[in-house]
Amino acid sequence: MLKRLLLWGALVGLLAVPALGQAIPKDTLVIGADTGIIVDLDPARAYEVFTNTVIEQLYDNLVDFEGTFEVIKPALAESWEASADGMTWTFHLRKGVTFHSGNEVNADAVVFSFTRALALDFAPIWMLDQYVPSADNVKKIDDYTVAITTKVALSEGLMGAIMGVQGICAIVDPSVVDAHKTADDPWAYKWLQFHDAGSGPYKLIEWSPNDRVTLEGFDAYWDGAPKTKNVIVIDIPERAQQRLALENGTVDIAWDLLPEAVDELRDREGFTIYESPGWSIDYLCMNVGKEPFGDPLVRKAIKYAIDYDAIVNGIMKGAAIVGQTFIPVGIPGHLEATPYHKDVEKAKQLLADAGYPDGFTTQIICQPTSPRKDIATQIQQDLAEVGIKADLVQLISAQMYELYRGQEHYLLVAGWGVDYGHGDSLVKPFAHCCSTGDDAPVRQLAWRNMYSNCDLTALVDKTETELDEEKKLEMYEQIQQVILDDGPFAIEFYPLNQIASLDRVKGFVMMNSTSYIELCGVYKE
Amino acid sequence: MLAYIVRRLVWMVFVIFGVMTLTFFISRVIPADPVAAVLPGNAPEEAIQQERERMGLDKPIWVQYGLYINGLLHGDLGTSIRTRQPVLSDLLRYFPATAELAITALIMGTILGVSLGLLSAVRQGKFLDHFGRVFAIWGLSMPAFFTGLMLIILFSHTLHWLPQLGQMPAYLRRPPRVTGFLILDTMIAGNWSLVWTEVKHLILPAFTLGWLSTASIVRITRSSLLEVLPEEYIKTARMKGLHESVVILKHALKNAMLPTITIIGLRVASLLEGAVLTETVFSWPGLGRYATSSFLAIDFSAVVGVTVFIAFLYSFCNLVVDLIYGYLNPKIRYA
Amino acid sequence: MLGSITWRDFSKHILRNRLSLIGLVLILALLILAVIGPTVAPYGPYATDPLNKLQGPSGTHPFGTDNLGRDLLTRILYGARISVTIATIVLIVSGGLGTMIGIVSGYFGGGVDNLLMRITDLFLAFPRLILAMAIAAALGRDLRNVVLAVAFTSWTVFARLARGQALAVKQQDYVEAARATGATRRRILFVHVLPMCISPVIIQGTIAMGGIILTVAGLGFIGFGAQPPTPEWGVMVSDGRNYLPTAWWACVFPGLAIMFTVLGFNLLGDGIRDILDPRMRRS
Repeated sequence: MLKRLLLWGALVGLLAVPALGQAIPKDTLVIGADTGIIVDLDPARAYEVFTNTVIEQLYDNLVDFEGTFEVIKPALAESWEASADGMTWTFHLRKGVTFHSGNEVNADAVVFSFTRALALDFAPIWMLDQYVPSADNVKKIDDYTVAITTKVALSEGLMGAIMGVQGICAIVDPSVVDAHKTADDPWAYKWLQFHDAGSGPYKLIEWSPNDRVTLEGFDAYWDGAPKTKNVIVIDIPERAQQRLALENGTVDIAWDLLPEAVDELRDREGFTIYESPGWSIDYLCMNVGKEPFGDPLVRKAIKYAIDYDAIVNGIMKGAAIVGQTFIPVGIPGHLEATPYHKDVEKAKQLLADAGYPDGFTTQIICQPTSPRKDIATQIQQDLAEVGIKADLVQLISAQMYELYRGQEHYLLVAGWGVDYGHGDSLVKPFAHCCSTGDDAPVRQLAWRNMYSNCDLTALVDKTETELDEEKKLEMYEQIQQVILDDGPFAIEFYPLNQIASLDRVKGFVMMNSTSYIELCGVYKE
Repeated sequence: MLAYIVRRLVWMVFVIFGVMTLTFFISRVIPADPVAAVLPGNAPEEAIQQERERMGLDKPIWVQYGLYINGLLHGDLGTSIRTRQPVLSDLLRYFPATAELAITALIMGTILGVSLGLLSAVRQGKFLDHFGRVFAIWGLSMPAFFTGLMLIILFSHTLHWLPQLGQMPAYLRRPPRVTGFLILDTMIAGNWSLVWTEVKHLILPAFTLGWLSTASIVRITRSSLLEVLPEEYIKTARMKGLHESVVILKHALKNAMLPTITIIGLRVASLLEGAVLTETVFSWPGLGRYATSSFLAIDFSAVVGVTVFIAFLYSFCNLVVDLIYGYLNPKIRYA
Repeated sequence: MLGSITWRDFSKHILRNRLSLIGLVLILALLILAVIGPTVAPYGPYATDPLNKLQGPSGTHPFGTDNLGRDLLTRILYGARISVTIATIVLIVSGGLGTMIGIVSGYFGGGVDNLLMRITDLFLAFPRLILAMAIAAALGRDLRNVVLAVAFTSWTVFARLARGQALAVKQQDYVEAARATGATRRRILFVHVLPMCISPVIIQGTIAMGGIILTVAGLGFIGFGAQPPTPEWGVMVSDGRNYLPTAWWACVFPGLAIMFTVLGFNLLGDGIRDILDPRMRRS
């Protein structure tokens, strides 16, 4: 009996020795994030925001961005100019840049990269091939000069935005692809799903799905070796765990904390919070093809029923910026206008005018994760106050998108991520729709919600060919105004990106799109 | 005996086939588009359609079923829509972590459970008995996910005794993959301090996972011991002058273990289920996480693959347990 | 052999046994709360107030508020009714289904018995949680379907039980006599066999209830549960866990509610099992 107790006691005692081991060495940066979202590290296929954050460290593009995306800075291309007709852009490459393999980055590699992306034709390719439809458009002029011809003349801002798109416009090492290609896989996409072929500041040591991503610094990087040699991203899908991990020093940076956690850490010693207006829009959409949302008065009524304050300051706890137009703050073309606020009387009046004095019943769809489902619950409540009884249905992505893309929904709460840093990436999805059938050339949000407006669509088409940046932005504002008044979207806010780190982390520069954050300048004290 | 085993194996094949077909059709009946879920909401319709064709999801369901069976016979469990890897390689990749967790949970549970059950029976009516019974029943009442979170807050966050998540510290490199089992690979690499750290990482998740089993084991050990202790041969052993602990350990426990082993066997299979909840809480990269993600995304092949795999393990474990039980209990004869 | 329970058994094993008594008290408390809960609750369960979210326990909100500012005490009280409803429906569906299958299997024997028992084995080969997840995913994620999913995975134990009863009853003299006098099979099944099954099924149901509630909570936790704004306890724990460790009340109180409910059923179930297990009668 006594012996047994002693044994137990000893066991417990052994464990009580502080088990967390040594602190993380200074040459290693540990980030806690939800890496479950990463599917594929092949740049021609990578599409999700966090995947692109990893891609950003591994690959370079011809151009890059500073802070807000209005300034385009040279990366692999030192300079560029447009031809007289604006349809050909000539890029002059930086000399002496090498890939991780040691091979030189030259015009052949650039041509190869674009050819590969276009040949593979994976989902993100539309961002490139909408303006650069085939590999023939990309020509080598000499060893360090490449000419890219576009389908229509593009302004410098837009061209830069496209060339800076991560993944699809990344420059890939032809020798790595050559070494791993096979008969059925001539572009080595199976290999590149788990390995890198880039020239960026970090090399990929290993990606273990649902576990961790291990990166190591590339000393011969053209912009200088990264300040921290090792970067490890560990998978912590539980938000509470991410927070605990940051608090006890298991990670240096927590990527996905909830607004409540950020708020609390903000005032505490030892933590730094980084924030930026995000590249996404949170909205409630209404299917114009389903009754009674075909009536613009009903749509307006709903826009006046929503309690934006409760959503932004309550649910999002300040981790959001009120915004009701579809180009977010920080992206060229943003229209600053927030005419809607909760007004129960007005909403009821509009409903009565539309012929629904007693309201009606309908259905809201949302995903089962916070905060979307909280927002949907709040909206359900708000609509009930003006007489609209909405059934709330939670669907996982696979089911929700099936319905949404099939134009089968009534009301739906979702978010839209901005694809590249220019209003151009948003006008087509939100405003281009002249026919609601399958023949429509653009089948994005406006189409999904069956909002057919041919005049507006013509205006959107005009913006594509407008070379004067000023005029283009003005047209964007007009388009946003129309959607604001008449469109099927009640836009609630733009989420703030929030990242928290320990004070010992220095040199971390926040970007409006977290996928463009560069870790090579980060170091620890 | 051999005939019995063969019959069980044949039956197992039928059951797994039935499970597979059932799951296959259930998962495709759901109105869902997992491809659209893997590609971001922004992806154009054409891209989704292309991806669907690439995965063979646009074919009629009977054709897909036929192709799947054909693949199955060649050892191909299909390709996951989410990970773009063959499901079989996904399963083999994630299974060792769950196995490590489950085996540790079982060992912990057995040692803890038998000890507590023993103490409880021997000190019946006294404090230890009450403690054991309360511990057991409490363990059966706690939702596993709740337990895990509370334990993390207590032992990791407040007391700093045990690590909070994962299999090993974040900033260390994994040893080269030889067996796939992390602890074995670390031992093979000779990194003994890392082995010790990994063991510490195993403690909380294994305990959480195993608490339910521990509880059952405590109860069954206690009750079967209570049944055995009053028996004649125990009294005889005592009268012979043998030391009390010898009497209990050598004579009573051995005979009481039979029902306990059955329970342990039953728990093995349920540990696989419990892993689903535990692995989410502890960021453990195992089969439970893979199963949850696949189900939430309705990733067809992965869903069917996981279900078939688990059904197989379940049946296999049951068979092994039955055989062990038959071996230990001479009264049972399998014809 | 499971039979019925006499008052003497009840008072000796349950009322006198401290642990079982606690279990009984807990269950009664749950049932009372399920009935009166909504009437005594201080607030409405659906009234969101996001600006007051995650307030700690206080005079106005004894259990604090959740992530939408709703009063937690109120939602837990409403949740009691939901849990009782779930438990009852699962018991009825799985008990009913299992009993039917078991009776048919046991009474008719032969090929029918074989087939039904093999189907039972098929369902036993499925890990319960996984099967429930599959069914819930297929039928759609609302509470009703979750209940059906759990019920579909829980019927096997009742089938086995009912089969055993049917086998035993089949051989009784009075059944032979009834058959001899020309009673139809249906009559025999309904009048003689079925009544013998009800009591054991209810008893087994009580014993299994704890596990059923845990399975439903587990499903709610991973995301296959009730739709908002329904205050189901498992979903509340899942929602609340994002706010640990500071706003602990959002997760802990619903978790404790689940725990005490399951504990109650387990303690009571233990007491009942003690009555029925002849070995226990000795001690």
